[in-house]
Amino acid sequence: MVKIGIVIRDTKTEKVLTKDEYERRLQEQKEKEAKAKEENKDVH
Amino acid sequence: MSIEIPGVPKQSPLDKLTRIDELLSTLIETIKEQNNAEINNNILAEIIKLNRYKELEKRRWERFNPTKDDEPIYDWTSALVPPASQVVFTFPVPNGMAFHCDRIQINWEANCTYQIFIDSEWTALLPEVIEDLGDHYAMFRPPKRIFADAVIIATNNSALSITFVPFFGGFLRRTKKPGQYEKEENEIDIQEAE
Repeated sequence: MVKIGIVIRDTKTEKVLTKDEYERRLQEQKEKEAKAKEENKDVH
Repeated sequence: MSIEIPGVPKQSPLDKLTRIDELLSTLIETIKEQNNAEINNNILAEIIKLNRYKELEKRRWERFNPTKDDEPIYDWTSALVPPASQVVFTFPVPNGMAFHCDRIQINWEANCTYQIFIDSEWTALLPEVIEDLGDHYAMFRPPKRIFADAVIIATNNSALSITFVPFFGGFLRRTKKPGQYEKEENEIDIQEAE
């Protein structure tokens, strides 16, 4: 069984993200999207 | 070397093999019936030529069609990628094996870029070589067998997090003694180029 390797990198620096950095980015994005959703709701 | 087989212009490899066998039987029968040494020599030369062609056709057929000794590959995975990040998917080919890759596939997203490296060589920027699968997927057919690894780099330039799902399909074949496999493969490549 061949295991497909996965590495997440920063687009600009091409440095590999640590687990913490990766999770932080995802969390930030999640909050950003939730905020945008909320704002969108207010507009309508 | 290129042999036109009369009567059947476009044939599948299996049709060709069957037709070659028929021709060989006919030629051998003719030799048995003939007493003319010169004609027989010509027929023998033709038989040798056809046998060589048959062997190459057989190898060409096996190259893209797995046998019971090969290991089928239908591998996929997924990764959630935040904006301004890229994911590197690496399919490593085990030592002593060659990956006869039928397809490399990945979901196609707006504002994302894709690159493929085969055996560490840049091979494709996906949008330029994809076969349009419609809907949501892009597919790339590698031009050769893979001996080290296949890598997809997907860059998320959008404002949203994206889940990338790559797929690698084909089969793994054990290579013969060092150098032998590549030598045979090259022979077929040369033959096809001719």
